[in-house]
Amino acid sequence: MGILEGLVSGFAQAISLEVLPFLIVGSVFGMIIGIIPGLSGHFAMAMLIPFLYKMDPAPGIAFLLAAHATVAQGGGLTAILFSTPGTGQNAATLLDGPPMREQGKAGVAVGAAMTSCFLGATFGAVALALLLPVLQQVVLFFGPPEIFVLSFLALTFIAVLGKEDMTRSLIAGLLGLLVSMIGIDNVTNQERFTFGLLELYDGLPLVPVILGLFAVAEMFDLFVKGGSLVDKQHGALSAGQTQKQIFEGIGIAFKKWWLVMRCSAIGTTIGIIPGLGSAPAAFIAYGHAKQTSKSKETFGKGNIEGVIGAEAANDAVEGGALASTVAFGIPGSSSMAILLGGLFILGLETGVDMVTTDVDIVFVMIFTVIFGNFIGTIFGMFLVNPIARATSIRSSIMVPILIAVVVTGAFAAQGSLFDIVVTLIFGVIGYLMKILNYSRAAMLIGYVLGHAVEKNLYLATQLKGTLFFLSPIPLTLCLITLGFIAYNVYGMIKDRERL
Amino acid sequence: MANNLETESTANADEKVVNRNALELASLFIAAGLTLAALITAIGYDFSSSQPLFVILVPLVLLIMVQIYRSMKQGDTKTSINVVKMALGGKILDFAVSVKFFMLLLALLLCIYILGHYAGLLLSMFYLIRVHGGESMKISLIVPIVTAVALFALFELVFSIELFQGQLYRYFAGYRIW
Repeated sequence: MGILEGLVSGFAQAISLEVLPFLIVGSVFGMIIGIIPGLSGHFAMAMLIPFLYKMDPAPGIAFLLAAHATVAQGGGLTAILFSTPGTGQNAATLLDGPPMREQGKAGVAVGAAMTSCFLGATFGAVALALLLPVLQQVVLFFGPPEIFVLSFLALTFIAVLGKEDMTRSLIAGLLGLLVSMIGIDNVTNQERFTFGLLELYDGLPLVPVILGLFAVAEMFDLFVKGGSLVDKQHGALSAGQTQKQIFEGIGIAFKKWWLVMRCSAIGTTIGIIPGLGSAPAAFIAYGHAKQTSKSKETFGKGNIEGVIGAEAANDAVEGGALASTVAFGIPGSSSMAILLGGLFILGLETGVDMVTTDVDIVFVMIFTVIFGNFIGTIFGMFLVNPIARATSIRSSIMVPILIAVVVTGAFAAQGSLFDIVVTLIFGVIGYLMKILNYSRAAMLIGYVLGHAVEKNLYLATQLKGTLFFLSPIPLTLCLITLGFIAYNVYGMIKDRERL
Repeated sequence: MANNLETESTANADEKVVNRNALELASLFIAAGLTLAALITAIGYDFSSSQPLFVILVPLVLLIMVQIYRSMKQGDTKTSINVVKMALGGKILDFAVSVKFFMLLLALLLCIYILGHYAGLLLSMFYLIRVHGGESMKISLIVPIVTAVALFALFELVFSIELFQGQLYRYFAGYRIW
């Protein structure tokens, strides 16, 4: 399928009655999850994964991706209104959002943040569309040996660049790979770690693993912490004031279009690199906005450019992250790993097939990101005050509701009680990892990549022998991986010596 | 007064670090045992099947050892053992609450298995909201019922996914459940 044909087909599918309702529901759901502190983009996606079994590819992707796309918008809203970012990626918005609220300009900040999110996401999505012709050529150079080595490079990036400790993250990534090996080996029919359980013959099911690691683990955390999700609500505006200020904020974001573009470019570029994610992108964009501003001294005291820069970069990340996920099947973050899992459930394959024959699906993703953010912006602008009340729900009510949904979702995926058991086990593992600072993203990415790693290792050894990694591209990737680890270990030793 | 508060919060933070270190050590020892067992098991597999396992397990075992060494260097081993003993005795609050939550989840699973999905959820949610959460009777009844109805509408009506009916129902419906 050609790019133009894919674009037209993707657009037609995205606005069709079969897809659009799911896109709207997904966007609203993501927005609400984003508003609730402690629940993030991967939580929103994890909750929706069980429904994919009954859905066609286009509505399924729209449902899943729209939820993820609007999480950052919801998070930005609470960061400004309650000084509590709904998700970690909105932390940079805390620097200038709350000071603006203190000055009575909460609506302006919300309007500017929402619009910047939308513009940033659109920038990222357009960048992905423009990258497609390049990706179509590049993926042809990536056969089994390259993909095998690239998987380890991605895991290394995630382990080293993630917010968690490097050794712990590498352990988590390898544990994820190990867990993916459970089941019958497709090549030799060898049972591996099944303990004779019939349920494990096909390997550990994806949905319960995701739900356990991300949803149940959060429930543990909420249950232990208790209380309300946001203790104090302050700075709430009247409906009339809010609307007036929001439109002012929208105007300012459009006026500062050049800043939005630059920060979006930063976000998209960072999105392509596995492991960095939205939070660092937002802080780098914030730094850039401050450096290039004429009023540097007002940053941190309520400068709207700080809000615009951080929020634009936040959402522009998705376009870049999607590029490596769809082209190479290498997810750069936990959300992208869940998306990859969702694509498997929907019967889609990433890599050459995705960027050459299923181009329309890539465009459904692109339009979902754009439309989802647009819907989120509209929804957020008009329902700021009511949806913000979601944060005052006590955990004693929230936890049972979410547990009910999670348990039902885990069962519904394959109609198996065993899946609920797996969910609970991975819930405990996920909670332990969360409190001990082990990267759950690395574990999930390892788990999702496991099959690709095994398949490509087998094919690579069959095609090029055991020294397959001496071919030019795999060797280069190996050297980058080793160099990257060595550089970071050297940095850590140097830091320790300095202390 | 302020100094006292500061000292208390520092002591709490130190205690948390010690507890976390002990928990990490205990978890790592379990992980090390399981990983070594997996490595030994993998030796018995066909080479094609064990090849990727070796690629994963060898660095994994090494990294776990490194992390155990780092954790042991960070804290006193004797203290860690004492903390684990205290945790198992239910004397560490966060750990006790986590275990309680896990037990509640197991109870939920058992309820679903015996009574079916909806009855299990209703009972567990009522217990969590009313008994554990201390909410009013009105909320404790409304929230589980609304949630169960919403789940029924979504899963059974919209997606045509039938949820588990429970062994009790199956028994009375004439299925062989043993």
